Amino acid sequence: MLVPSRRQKRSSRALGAWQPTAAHVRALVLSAAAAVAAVIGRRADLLVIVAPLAVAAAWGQLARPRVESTGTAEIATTTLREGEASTIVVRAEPMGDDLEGVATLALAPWVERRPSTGTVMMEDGRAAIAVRTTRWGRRQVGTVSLSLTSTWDAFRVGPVDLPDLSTETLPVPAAFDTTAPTPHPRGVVGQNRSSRPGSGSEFNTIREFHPGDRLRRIHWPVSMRTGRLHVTSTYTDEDAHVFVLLDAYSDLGPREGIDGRPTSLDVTVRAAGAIAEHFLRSGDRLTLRTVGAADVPLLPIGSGTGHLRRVLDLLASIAPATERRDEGERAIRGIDPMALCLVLTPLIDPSMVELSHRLAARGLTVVLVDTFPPHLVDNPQNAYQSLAWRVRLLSREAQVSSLIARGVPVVPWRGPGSLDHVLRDVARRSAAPRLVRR
Amino acid sequence: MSERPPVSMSTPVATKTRTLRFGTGPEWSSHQLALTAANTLGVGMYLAALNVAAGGFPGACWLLLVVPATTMSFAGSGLSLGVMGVLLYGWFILVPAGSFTWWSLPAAAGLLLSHSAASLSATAPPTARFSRNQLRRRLRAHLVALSAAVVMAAGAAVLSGRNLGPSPVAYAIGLVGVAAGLWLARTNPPRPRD
Repeated sequence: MLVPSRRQKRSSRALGAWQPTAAHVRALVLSAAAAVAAVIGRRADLLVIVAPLAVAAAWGQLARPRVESTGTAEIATTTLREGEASTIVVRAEPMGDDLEGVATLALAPWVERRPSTGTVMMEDGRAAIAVRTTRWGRRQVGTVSLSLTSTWDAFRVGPVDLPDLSTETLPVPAAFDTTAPTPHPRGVVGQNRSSRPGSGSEFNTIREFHPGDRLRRIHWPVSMRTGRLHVTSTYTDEDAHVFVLLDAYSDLGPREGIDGRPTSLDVTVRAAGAIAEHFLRSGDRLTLRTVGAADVPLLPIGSGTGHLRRVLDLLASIAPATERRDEGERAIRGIDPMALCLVLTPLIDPSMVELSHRLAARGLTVVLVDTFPPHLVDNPQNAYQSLAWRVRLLSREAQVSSLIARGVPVVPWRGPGSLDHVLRDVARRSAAPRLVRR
Repeated sequence: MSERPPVSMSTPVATKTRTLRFGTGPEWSSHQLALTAANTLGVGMYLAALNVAAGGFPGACWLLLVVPATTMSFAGSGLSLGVMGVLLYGWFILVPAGSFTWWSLPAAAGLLLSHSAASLSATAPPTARFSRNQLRRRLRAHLVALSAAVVMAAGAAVLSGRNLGPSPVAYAIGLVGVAAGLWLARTNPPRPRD
């Protein structure tokens, strides 16, 4: 149940007019009929029997609420991380002392309720229901309905469904770290070592002092030993541009949320979050594009923690397989030729393989990250499904082989260190002498 | 109204709700099942009092005991009205006319218990749990309503044995009572003339 990007924090609705309940009608009818029968039939004991019902009917009638109440539901936090909890507070105003209320939160996919039944009795005109979202995305937390009853359950309003509240659940990035340098750094603010000496943090050499060198760079032990001033020189720091292309054509596997096994899109989205978090914290520039999902905005190039938040927002807005006609042309338009292209795909749809081929053909550094969940296996109970699965895996292997033959490394996503080896190889390859045409 | 701290999943809002499901029907909380048991108990009290007051009745009448349990999904419907109507009719035809019995008091308590349990059950979903304050308030109201039956029983005991006859005053009191009941039960009172 995906909803537009607007998050609904508070909803309110008038509960309507008070109506007599079946219990009140029962008490009135029985007491009146029995009273008449008792008088006509000279049955004092019948009067005794219905006397409490008559009191209940009269009491309930006299305590009838005269004003309409308004129900309000408010969620404490509209932006959550997967597995985080928030509270929905339901209020009714005005709420007399003799009124009782019940608030119910309907079950919604990937939203856990506490109490688990979603039903809470109101105390002092207020009820609190805790909710926990278990999967990334933008969705409604479930319909809150509210009903109030008066003394002796004589009159009632509702249950009235309040307008739905919606939240945005950001994916929890998987654990990821890499010690390998990002290829092709060329900016000025990152943490990647360049090959040029200059102001930075990576040690280069110790050389003689030149006019313009900073005094704090003077290396005193060497200066004392040689009798001339020497300074520590460093390499300049640079930032790189990382381009992440995300496959949203399919979402394979049971959707069990953060507490269960991930789907293919869960792995892809959480890997994209982890990669973005790593590179953006390292000072690199990053952009992220999706293929196969409708209504996902184009994210401009950016860096820093603010951009990380934008990336996670974009990931949360992905609805899988909502744009099957998307061939990725728009996604790969205008990419920096020096960018490191990371294609995150479970390699289900052959379109991503074609896109990777096209990116590699442009001379870009492309790394394909295979996000196919390892727990997805064929169904041995169904021979035809099993056969189709094996055929698909064989064609997948062929596609992977074609990519490797083209020089596009394909690495399975395994969390921390997944890209270490391949990034080092890419850096080494870019530094190696090349054969060029003359 | 004082603000309360936000509630998270780690700080329990309520204790874990134990529910019971009968077949493919809805889940029922222990509180709702207890209300159904109270409803059955009320019917049982009434039937037992009727049995003693009338000096016995056909055994098939005891089948009314299973009605609250088998119809607990319809607590908010007119079914309870029918069941209680049958119970009152049974008293009317089985207990001798013109007599008074103190067994009408437990019958009144049983009828009130059955009525109240059914009405409270109908106010909330099957999985609801009722708070202690709610039950305490209801118990107080029950005692007040039952005291009316006690007062009525005391009056009836004093007047029993005297041949008052269907006097015009009694008819007038009855009709005034019916008129008052109708006036109280109206849902859309007419606008007073200017």
